[in-house]
Formats: sequence, C-alpha cells, structure tokens
Amino acid sequence: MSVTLKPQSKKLGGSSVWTTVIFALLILIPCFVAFSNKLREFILLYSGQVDGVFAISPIVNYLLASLGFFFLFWWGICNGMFARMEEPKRDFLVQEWQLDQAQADYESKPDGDKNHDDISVYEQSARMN
Amino acid sequence: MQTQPTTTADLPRHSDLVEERLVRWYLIAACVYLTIAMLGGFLMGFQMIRYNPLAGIEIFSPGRWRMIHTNGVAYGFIATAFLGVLHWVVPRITLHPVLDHRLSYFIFFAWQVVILGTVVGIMLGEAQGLEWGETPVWIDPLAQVGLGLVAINFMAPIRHVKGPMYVTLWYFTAAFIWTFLTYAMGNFIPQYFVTGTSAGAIGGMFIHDLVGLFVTPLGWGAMYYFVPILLKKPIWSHGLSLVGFWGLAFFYPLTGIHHFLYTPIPMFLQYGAVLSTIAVEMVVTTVIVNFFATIRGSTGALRENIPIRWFYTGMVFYFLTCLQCAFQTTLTFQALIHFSDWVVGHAHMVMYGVFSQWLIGMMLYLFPRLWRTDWYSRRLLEWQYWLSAVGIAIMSADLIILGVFQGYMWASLAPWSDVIQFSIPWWALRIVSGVMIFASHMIFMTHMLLTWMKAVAERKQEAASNPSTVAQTV
Ligand code: HEM
Ligand code: HEM
Repeated sequence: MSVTLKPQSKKLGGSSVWTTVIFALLILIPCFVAFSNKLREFILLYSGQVDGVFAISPIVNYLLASLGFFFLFWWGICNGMFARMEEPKRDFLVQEWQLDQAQADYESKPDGDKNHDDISVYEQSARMN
Repeated sequence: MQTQPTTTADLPRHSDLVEERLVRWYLIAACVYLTIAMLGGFLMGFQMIRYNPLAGIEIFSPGRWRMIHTNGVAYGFIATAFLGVLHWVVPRITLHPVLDHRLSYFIFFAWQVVILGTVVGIMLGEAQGLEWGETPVWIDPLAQVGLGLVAINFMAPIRHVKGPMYVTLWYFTAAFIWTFLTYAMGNFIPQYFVTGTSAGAIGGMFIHDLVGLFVTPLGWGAMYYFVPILLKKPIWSHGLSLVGFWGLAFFYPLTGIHHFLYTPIPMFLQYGAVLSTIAVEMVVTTVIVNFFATIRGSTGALRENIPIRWFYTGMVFYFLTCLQCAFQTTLTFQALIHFSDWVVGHAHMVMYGVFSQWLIGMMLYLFPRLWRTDWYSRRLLEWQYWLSAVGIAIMSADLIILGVFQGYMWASLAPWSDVIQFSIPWWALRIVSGVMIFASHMIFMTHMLLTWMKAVAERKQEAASNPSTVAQTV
C-alpha cells in the first residue's frame, strides 16, 4: 500500500493575519486591563486579613497553571501544531492501516523468508515461552 | 502529522513498538480488580439494606470495603486498564516504543504493589483521611514516584513527534503531567501542610481534578483514537477536538470546589467553581457533538460492531451525566441533592456507565488482536452488553430519582429514620441492578478464558499444519 500525505489546508494571507491580530488585541487588551484591575482590588481588600493568603492562593495557583498552559499553547502555535488543522486526523488513520498491513504481511511470511535480523527481541522471547 | 512514511516498508513493526504481553497483563489485572471492587460494592449495598452477611468481622467492615470499592474501581480498574491501553496506543501513534520496556515491567509490578498495598492497608484500618485519597500514607510516596516514571516512560515517544499532533497525544501529554501534580497536591498538601477549610478546598480540587484531569483526558484521548479506527473514518472535526482540549486545560482546574458548595470556603471561590463548571459543560458539548457527527451515516456499526456499541452507549451516558451535572452544580439544585443518592447515581453513571463502558469496549477490540483470534461467541458478547447497559441504566435512574426524594424529605424536615425506611426498597433495587452488572462482568471474564483457550488451540493446530510460521504470543 502506498499513500502520499499531502498538505491540504491553505496558508492564511497577510491581510487575514493582520485582521486576526487586530481583533485579538481589541478583545484581549480590555479584558486583561479589567481583570488585572479587579485582581489588584481583590488583593488590596484581603491583604492584612488572617484568611487573606488562603483567599488569594487558589486564584494564584489557578493563574500559574493557566500561565503554563498559555505558554504551551504559544509554543504549539510557534511550532506549527495548529497549522494544518485537519490533517493529523487523516494521517493517523492511514498510519494505523499501514501498521496493521505491515504486521499482517510479516506474520504471514514463513519463518525461512524472514530476515533473521528482522525478528525482534520480543518475538524471540515470545517464541521461547 | 508527526510521521511522513509513504509506504509500509518505512514503518517500524508493530511487534517492535508494542509490548503486547504487558498490555494483556494490565487488561487482565484490571478485570480482576474490578471483580474485587464490585464485591466491595455489594458488601456496602447489603449493609445499607440491613443485611450484612459478614457482620462483626472487622476486616470485612462495610465502611472499609466501601473505600476498597471506590479505590478499587478508580485505581485498580480504571487506572490499570488505561495503563494497558496506553502501552498499545502511544507507541502506535508516535511510531516509537516507550522509553524502556524494562521500566514498563517495573512500573507494572510497582503498580500492583500500590493497589494490593492499598487494599490490605484499608482492610487493616490504615486509610488516609482524604476522600478518594484513602491510599495509606506509606504508599503515597511510592505511587508518586510511579506516576513520575509513567510520565517519563510515555513522554519519551511523544517527544519524537514533529509537526501538528493528533488530539489523542495532546490529551495524553496533559494527563501525564496533570495526574502527577494532582496526586501530589491532593495526597501531601492536606496531610502535611494545611488544615481546616483550606484542606477542604484542596480536597475538593483533588477529587475533581482526579476525575477531570486524569480519567477524562485519558478517556477522551483514547476515544479519539479508537472510534475513527473502528468506524474507518476520521473524526468529524479535528479543530473542534482541539477546542475541547484547550477548554479542558483552561477551565477544569478551577471546578473542583463545586464538591463543597455551601461550606465555609469563601463564596467567591464557590461562584468561581460554578462558573468554570458551566464553561466545562460547553467544552464537554463540543466533544459529544464531534463524536455524534462522526458516526452520522455509519449508525449501522452500532448493531454490528460491538466495541462501537459500547463506546456510543458510554457517549449517551456521558451526555446524560453532563446534563445531570448542569443541574447539580447550580446552587439551587445543590441545596436539594447534596449528600443524597443523586450524587452516588452520578458517580456510578459516569464511572461505570461512561468510562468503564469505554474501557470495556477498548478491551473488546484489543483482546482479539492480542490473541489473534475472534471472540469465542457472539451470543456471549450480546449478553455481556445488554446486562451491563440495562443494569447501569436501572442503577443510575434508581439512585438519581431516590436522591431527589431524599432531598425533598430532608427539606420537609422528615425524621431521618423515615428517610432511611423510604430508601431501603430503592437500595434493594440497586443490588438487583448490581447483580446484572456483576453478571455481565463474569460473562466477560469467562468469555476471555474461552477465547484464550480457543487461541491456544488454533496456534497448536497452525503449528502442526505449518511448522514454519511463527507461533504468536498467546
Ligand atoms: C462536566 C462534568 C462534570 C460535572 C459538572 C460534575 C459535577 C459534579 C458535582 C457538582 C459533584 C458534587 C455533588 C455533590 O456532592 O453534591 C460531583 C460528584 C462526583 N463526580 Fe462529577 N462532575 C462531572 C464529571 C465527572 C466525571 C467525568 C467523573 C468521573 C470520571 C465524575 C465523578 C464524580 C464522583 C465520583 C463524584 C462523587 C464524589 C464524592 O465522593 O464526593 N464526575 N460531580
Ligand atoms: C456491581 C455492583 C455495584 C454495587 C452493588 C455498588 C454499590 C455501591 C455502594 C453501596 C456504594 C456506597 C454508596 C453510599 O455510600 O451511599 C457505592 C459507591 C460508589 N461506587 Fe459502586 N457499586 C457497584 C459497581 C460500581 C462500579 C462498576 C463502579 C465504577 C466503575 C462504581 C463506582 C462507585 C463510586 C465512584 C462510588 C462512590 C460514590 C460517591 O462517593 O458519591 N460502583 N457503590
């Protein structure tokens, strides 16, 4: 079986990228300002109180975890993880069929036709069992 | 995706990638643990209808066996079965074996020590005072190291992946990291560092992060792998599946406190949990939509293909339980159903009706491939399926409806003993449905034995008629 995997999705044009960036900034900047303001107010409200640290720590924990995911997300974008969005779902299926095909071919060969180096350690140990 | 082989010749061989013996061991061990865990459920169930066959024997105290039941299903069955499935899926998707097969065997044996140690520890009354983390404190460090090793062993092949990653690998990667961190947070912080309400808040996050960041990503990840293979077509939208993944990543960690609504935990945290739970509901919807859109046009598979049937039955229960969750997470509804059997109904519907059904479906797909033979009997497969599906439908409906009655009775200040008296027939029905589920599992175990014997006989016959073919592992 021979299958060629071709990239299918188109690249975004320059104007689409700029539109996306401008809209993203339009939404993200006000959200970020509002959220930081509220968080600052909240910290001021609770600082000095006995249960202050307890009140703030879950939020800080959550923000740290989310920051980790944000960086992972960013890393994904920079490394083309979302570039050809729909392709992985086809590639993986083709690969599965190929793996099954190759294994079936291999198992149906008589022993003599197999290159000896071709026999994995696991198979050898299985034979011994 | 990650790999660009164009012909079968470019691919590594499956037998070099997957350590099949280990997959078999994990799956069989999981089924044995499920049997023991279910027996624990019966003991507690009989206690609740005031018929405890082992009354007075301390090591069989129902309170202890309730913990063996819950820990047994979570760690003994679900986690063990997932470990087996991971040993199949990860090397095949990444085209690289795990870091080291010897490490895999070590983890297998260490995991058995953790589970059996937990059972014995709990039987001897050494449970840790943390819900869902009752593993005795002396086991926690071993389990923590084990989880670290699991992450290292499986991350090694995933590290080789280049280019856009298939959604299954995103989920698995996250699950390895999350489970390690969640276990550490839940088992060590409340035990050694914080007390009181803070410990309660951490405990709540631990419970839900365990189900949401360990069971859920492994379950969803595995379904995104098995369903397309069995339906022989790709998932409807890979983009939507990634939206589901990132939604889970950003919203799930804050939901845990919904387990402790109306407690002294500050109200803003409780509101935060409710809001993020609503967000998670939307994320869950994307997953359900994706799977149902995938099966559109192939619904015939539900009749013919037994694993697909299990997967989609689990999916229907998933839809139902999420609908249920949408209610139970609101403060109005919480006031009614908290502490009632509604929650126990939810727990069974999601842990058995969804994740166990998915895992059993995976086993039904994997065992014939591992033994290189078909299942012994189609009729047994049908019996197993129907007993399980009808059993869990009755059990969840019974407990969920009972929960609403209990809630209203408590709200009307009915005496506690009246509520118990009212509940007993419903609890008896739970035992009946439990017998159906147990019978389904026993059929499965017997069927496995018969199929294995058939495989051995076939290999012997093959070897006699054609001595030069390789004897496969059975
Ligand atoms: C969107 C998804 C989910 C939501 C909104 C949700 C919501 C909830 C809530 C609010 C409770 C607490 C009820 C109470 O005590 O009053 C609860 C309990 C529980 N949930 Fe879920 N749940 C979800 C998914 C899951 C999943 C995927 C699992 C398992 C894999 C699970 C297992 C449990 C268990 C075992 C309990 C009982 C915990 C205990 O022992 O106290 N849930 N859930
Ligand atoms: C075979 C029949 C089963 C019976 C008779 C049974 C019975 C019980 C009983 C009596 C409880 C304690 C409820 C309470 O304290 O009010 C319980 C809890 C639980 N069972 Fe089962 N069970 C069975 C199967 C299962 C299976 C197969 C699973 C999961 C795969 C499961 C998961 C759970 C969970 C997660 C809880 C904790 C619920 C909570 O804390 O809210 N059970 N079960």
